[in-house]
Amino acid sequence: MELTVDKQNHTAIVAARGRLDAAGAPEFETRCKALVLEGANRLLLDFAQVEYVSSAGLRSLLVLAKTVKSAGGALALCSLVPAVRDVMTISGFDNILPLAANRAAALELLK
Amino acid sequence: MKLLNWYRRQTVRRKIFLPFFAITLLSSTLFTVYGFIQNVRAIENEIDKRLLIAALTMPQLLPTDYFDRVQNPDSITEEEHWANTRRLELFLSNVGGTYLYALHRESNRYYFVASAALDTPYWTEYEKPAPNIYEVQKTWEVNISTTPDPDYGLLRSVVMGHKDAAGRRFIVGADIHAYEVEALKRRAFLNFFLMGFASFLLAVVFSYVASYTITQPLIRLSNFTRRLVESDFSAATRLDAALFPDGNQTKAETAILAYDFDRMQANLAEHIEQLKFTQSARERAESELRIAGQIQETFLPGPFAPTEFGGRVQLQAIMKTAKQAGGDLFDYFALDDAHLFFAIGDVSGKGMPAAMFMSAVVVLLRSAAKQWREPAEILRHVNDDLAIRNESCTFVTLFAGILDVRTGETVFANGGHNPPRLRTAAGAVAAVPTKTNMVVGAMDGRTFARETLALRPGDTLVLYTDGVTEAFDENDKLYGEERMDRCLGALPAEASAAEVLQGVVADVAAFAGAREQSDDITMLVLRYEPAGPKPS
Repeated sequence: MELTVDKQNHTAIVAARGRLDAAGAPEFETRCKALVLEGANRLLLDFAQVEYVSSAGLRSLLVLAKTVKSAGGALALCSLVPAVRDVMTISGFDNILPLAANRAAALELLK
Repeated sequence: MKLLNWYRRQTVRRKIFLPFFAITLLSSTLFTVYGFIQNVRAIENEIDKRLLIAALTMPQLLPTDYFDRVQNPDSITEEEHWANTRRLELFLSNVGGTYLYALHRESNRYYFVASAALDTPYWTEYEKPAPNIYEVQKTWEVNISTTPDPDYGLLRSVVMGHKDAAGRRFIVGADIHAYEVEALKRRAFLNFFLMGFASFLLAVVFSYVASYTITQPLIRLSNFTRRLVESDFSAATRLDAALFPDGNQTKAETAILAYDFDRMQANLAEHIEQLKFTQSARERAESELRIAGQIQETFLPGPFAPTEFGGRVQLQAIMKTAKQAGGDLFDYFALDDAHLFFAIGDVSGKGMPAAMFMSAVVVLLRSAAKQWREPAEILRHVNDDLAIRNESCTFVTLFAGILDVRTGETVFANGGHNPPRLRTAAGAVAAVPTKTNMVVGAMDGRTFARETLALRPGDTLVLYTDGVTEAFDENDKLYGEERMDRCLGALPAEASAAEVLQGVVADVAAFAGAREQSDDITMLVLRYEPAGPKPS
């Protein structure tokens, strides 16, 4: 799992790449949590390059959602590939995580 | 080449000692031989010089007119002759020589007219002259030679002419026995040989001791290493610290080697200790996981009896755990004579946490099912029970259903789980349409949609976890829903629940090939049978 972080004020745009599974989730969770603790309580997760999300990945997204919520911020995902979008739909995560088609739409959601 | 190979195989000590030995032997021999030869020459020169001096000095030791007075056997008195003889004898003994004499030639006969020999009277005939006596008369020049005398043996001899006032020629000679010269040479040889041998011996002893001193630490180190290896690195003894008295603050390579070796042994011992500890910790963890897996299995229901519900339901389930204990689960039991509860689920994550969570889910699910008998309500209660104080955010995807065996009417609710497959009696395969709901345990206060499905006799419901569809092959490709659907469709229409289950499991195994199973593979297959005469 590769992460590219672009931080502006209280918003961090995290472009992830690879598989968000049992192997990649712990690092993803730790790094994103650190961003929130550093003050970026608005997290935009760009999943354009994420090909797969496992249940462990969903769990780490859930943890992040709770983390930003307790930090008084918000979280949004954008540019999901169809397979990942299906996982979000099946698991019902689309009910609790705001999903956007692209970064601009996601930034709107975070305002 | 052969010698070089032989040399390579020798010990370090021999490698140092042997060349040293050879060089010392050679140089000592050369020194002895060269010195001896030089000395022999010096001895010969010295002797020749002495004989020459003796021969030249002799006429001066006699009265000035002595040779003039030598005329006949009576021209010199016996008294004078013996006086001369004593003087010459004294001189010769100081100079070092055997014979000193003057010869007078008359009618091809030779007579001693003066001599250092106390047994030779005046005018004694020299009966068998040595060859050099004739030789000197050819040119009257000084003749130095080694000459064989018929009576006196081999001689080193100097002979020369001497003229008296009247111009008569006498022969003056000085001799030494050749064996005396040889004795001198032998003594010289012995001296040089002893000196050479002593220096050789000294050098050999020195090189032997030096090779020992140099190689001793290496030999000790090597022996120690062997002991260490033979004892599986568990030797409690450490290297003798005397091998590196100054630690690594030295230029002595062997001491540095020993010092580094000692540190390496310390590190090695520590690492082995650590390794053993880690090994046992891992073994303990692995055995705990195995036990956890066994405990987990006890939460799963036993085989479904085919006679239940009058044979109207066939039910087969399987859970093939991956190496790590996982969080998959399935459950089924009769709520009453006509209602069958069944469920499948997948806990997020793997290993011990997932296994523990799974146990809690099974217990909650079973009690909620008995209490509420309504899938949507069951999931709602399980969700709330799990979500409260769920700090780890672990959740479970759950599909739960209740089949009315009399009508085939199935009520179900889906908490974020993969939609099951419905295989109709005709062999058509399709995903069961389900509303999307949140996974179970992630967030409390959520509700789940109540949905229904009408099963017709001959229909088969296939519930599975993503361990099936997300099995990888050796090229990292996913098994996928499509492949599963094709597999289900290809099975014969009358395939029993067991045959359907085995068909898919075999297909997945064939697909994965040598690739290790990464996730639990769990399936529950339910076939609804037509009502008929009870099997007798």
